[in-house]
Amino acid sequence: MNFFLKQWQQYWRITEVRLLFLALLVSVTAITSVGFFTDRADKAMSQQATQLMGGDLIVSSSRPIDQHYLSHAKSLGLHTAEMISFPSMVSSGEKMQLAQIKAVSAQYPLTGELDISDSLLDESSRHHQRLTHNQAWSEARLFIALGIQPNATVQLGKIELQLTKRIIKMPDQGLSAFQIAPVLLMPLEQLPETGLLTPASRARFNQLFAGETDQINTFVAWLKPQLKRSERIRTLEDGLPAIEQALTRGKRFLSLAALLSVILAGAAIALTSYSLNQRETRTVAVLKTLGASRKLILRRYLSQLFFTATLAALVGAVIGYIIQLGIVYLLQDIMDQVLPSTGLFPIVTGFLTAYIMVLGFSAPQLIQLVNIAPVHILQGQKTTSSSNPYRYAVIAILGGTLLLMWIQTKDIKLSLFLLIATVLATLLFWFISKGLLNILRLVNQKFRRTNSVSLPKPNPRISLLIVVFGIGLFSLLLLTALRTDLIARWQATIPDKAPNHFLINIQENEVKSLQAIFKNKQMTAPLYPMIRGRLVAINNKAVSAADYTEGQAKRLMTREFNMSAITVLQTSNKIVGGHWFTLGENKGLSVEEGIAKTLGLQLGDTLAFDVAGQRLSDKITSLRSVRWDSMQPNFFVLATPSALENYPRTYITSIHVPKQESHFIPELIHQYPSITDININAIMTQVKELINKAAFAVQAIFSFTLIAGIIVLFAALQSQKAERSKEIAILKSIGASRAYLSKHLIIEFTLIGAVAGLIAGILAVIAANIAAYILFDLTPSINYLLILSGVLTGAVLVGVAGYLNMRPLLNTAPVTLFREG
Amino acid sequence: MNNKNIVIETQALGKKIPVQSADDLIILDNISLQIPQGASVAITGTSGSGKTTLLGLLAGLDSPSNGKIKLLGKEISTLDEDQRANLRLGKVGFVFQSFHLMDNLTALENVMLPLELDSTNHKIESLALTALNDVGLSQRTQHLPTQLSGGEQQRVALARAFVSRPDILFADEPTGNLDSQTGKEVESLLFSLQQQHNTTLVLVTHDHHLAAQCQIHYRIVAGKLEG
Repeated sequence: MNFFLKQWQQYWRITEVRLLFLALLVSVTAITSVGFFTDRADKAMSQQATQLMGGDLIVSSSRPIDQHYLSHAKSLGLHTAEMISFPSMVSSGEKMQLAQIKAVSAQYPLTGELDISDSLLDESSRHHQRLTHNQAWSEARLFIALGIQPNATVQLGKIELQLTKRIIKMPDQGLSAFQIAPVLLMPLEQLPETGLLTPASRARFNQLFAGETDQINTFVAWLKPQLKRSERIRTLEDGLPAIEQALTRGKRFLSLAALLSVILAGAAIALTSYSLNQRETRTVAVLKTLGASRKLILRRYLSQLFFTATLAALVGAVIGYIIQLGIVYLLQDIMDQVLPSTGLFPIVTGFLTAYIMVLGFSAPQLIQLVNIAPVHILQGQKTTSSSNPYRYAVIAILGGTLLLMWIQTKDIKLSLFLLIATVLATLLFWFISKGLLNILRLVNQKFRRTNSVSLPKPNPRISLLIVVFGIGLFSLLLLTALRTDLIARWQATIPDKAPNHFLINIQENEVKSLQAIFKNKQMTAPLYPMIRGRLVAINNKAVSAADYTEGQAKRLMTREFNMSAITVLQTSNKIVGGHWFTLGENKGLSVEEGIAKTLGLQLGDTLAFDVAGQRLSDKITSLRSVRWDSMQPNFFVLATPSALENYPRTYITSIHVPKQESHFIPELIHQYPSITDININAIMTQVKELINKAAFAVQAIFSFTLIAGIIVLFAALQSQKAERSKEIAILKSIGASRAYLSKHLIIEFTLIGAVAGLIAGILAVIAANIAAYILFDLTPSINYLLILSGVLTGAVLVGVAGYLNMRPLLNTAPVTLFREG
Repeated sequence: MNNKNIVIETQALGKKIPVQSADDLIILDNISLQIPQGASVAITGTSGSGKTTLLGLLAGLDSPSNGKIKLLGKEISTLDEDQRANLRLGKVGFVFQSFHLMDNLTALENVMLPLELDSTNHKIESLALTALNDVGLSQRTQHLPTQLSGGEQQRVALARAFVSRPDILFADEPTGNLDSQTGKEVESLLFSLQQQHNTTLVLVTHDHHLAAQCQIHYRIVAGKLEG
């Protein structure tokens, strides 16, 4: 062992080995930091899933649930409980907060734990008990937002409740882990007194069932054929679809970010191994002359290579763990819960990544070393490998990359797509860099004065530098653009006096008096009726989610559409097909074009909706484009006022409340307790904060790509050192001064960096604009600062790194360079 | 000459290189020679005459196109690369024109290298230190090759070549990269160590002065041997 370590110590003195180690270290750190984090998030999800729903089975609906389900369940021996949830404002004195109200029956929860405490801070006083009349419990956030302590009285709709306990843990909390509104638990029997529940309320009715698995299965079998369109069964498997989807997307994004670092580091390893191969050719030939067999040489190189990978994986896993702690710290506000500790699997992935990287990117090149013929060491004989290592190396690199992609994504199709995208991106950078260098060279030649320095000819080694460094820089610039520029641009599109409050749940009998208040205050606040209906038939043919394969269409079919009735089209809407309702017209529907496209709807189609048990059927007479970020109420489906006259409805409006009138909304809610206020300012601030924090965490992962890019840069420079050394020796021997060579090298590397930065900047601006268009429908704009920062970062980094790497060659006598070369 | 003392023997040795759309290029043709234990042999010839190719064949670094080679009593022309390497292990040393020291290894580690390959050897470090002492570099053991002069590097190479007490030492232009003064010093060290250890020395050189120091002198002309 001692001997092996001593040998490895000698191996470590080789620059290429240290670069190889660094590239592996960055990869493992990126993979494990993301791995540890997602593992903890996963565990949190599954822990919550076990006590998630408060029952073994939930029947959920936007309408009250058929009572005969309950009697049948009871006859089968199942336990039952009821929960109705909806968002509403809770107030205490002047302060108000949007809360998620959960009105629960005495039996709630049937499964899982509901831990409460008398204190806001003390965890030791936790206990279990049942809710009693006039009492409510809430998460700490509601106490904090309202500035109250336990036992304070709060106003909910028309009644007052005593907020006696803080909820520490409750079933369904998983659903609220990323939710903005805190939960308030109240007795179900008092819900009618609040006056908040009307036929048009955005309430969710849940019937919970618990019992033996057989009983549950029998009940589900009986229940399924009975379910109405608005009702659906929630089991543990589909308990958390929204959060899980968001988390899965987030995890995938982080994994892909880490993957990018790994691929760049892979490029560094391949380049370093090429350079190591060139360097060790002589060593292997000497070893062979001294009597070393191929087996011994192979064992020597592979053992050292795998030892290096093991060491990098160990250190990388430790650093990855520490970085993951940082990510959790950054995201703690968003997650609002303590994550469980991590498992060992990310470490396994880290080691696997390191071994695949050496196997795919390095070993094939080094294995070729054993084929070096020893006779080549004699003077006058060229020391090259007897076979072509590159064909195998390319196959191994592509195979290794695909395997790494698959490990990260667990999706072979996506991996293949990524592999092709990587190859295409490489080619794109390659050709653009070649073209740019040619143009620059031509310009330089045209305006060249005597004594000036000639620009480098585009050659593979320069293009290689630009490709690998440029891709790293591109990913960072793009993320910077998304994090800072995009949000700012979106905010800039919102006018100063754009509505900053949405008021929903306005009852029909409140409309007139509200209109008078707004008029009195000189506030523009058009009130729109809001009717909720489920699409049940298209052209008289019944439809359901099962008729669609696409996820978005399926989701649309399981929810209720927001519909309204207006005569004058809002400014944020534009007719893109058909015609808007003419005066006096009382027929027809206007459908948002996106939803029409998703569901395959066309002008002239007849749609039928189920609106609170009543059927609404009409033809599509127009299609509209909608600017959803206009801060105005917008609807998927619009009809004429007369067409919706007889359906249950609430009203919605959006208003701009100036800062100095901040008391207006609390007073209004006090007067109209059923109204729910959605404060856009607060949400915007919160969303911005969330995006900033999440993006910062992602950027931390992406910073690995820049580190990987710099390692690639050094690896590429190292692999060109022998060639450069010869060039410099020739130039020195024909009289080039040190100053001339320094100037030449600085200009060359700075230019290479600037070109890489320019391409990265331009492509980042293009990509950011595509994202801006898709996400926010923003018009394209060129962020010159981003391009400039790309050019400057590239020029400085490559200029300095290149010069520092080559400087030792300038100080060496030409004869030595010839001998070494 | 007593056949028992012959360490290298060739019979009708030839080496050809296939050339596309032309006849094979003959590098060596019908070389037969015998080298006794402890002798010093110089092989000279003009550039491209085939002398380095002959050295490679004699040392088992390359395979002949025809003919036979016996190295240390073993027929090697039919052996594969690993078998030939195994035969060289600990018994054959090399000195090269460009020194070919490992630049990530210190002088001491470079000298220890042949002993490390032979797992039967246990006093690696002390043997290497003695070898370095023999070439007058006991003060430079921890230096890397880049920190040594050309002459010092070649002396480390000599220590590396002699440390395993080889039966045969092959030298390829051992003074070719050195100035005349340093060349002479290395030359004198080479012959002194060769005699001290009774090693058979086979060297290829352009240098007539160096060749003249050897007991046997072969001259290669257009791939043929002139004794």
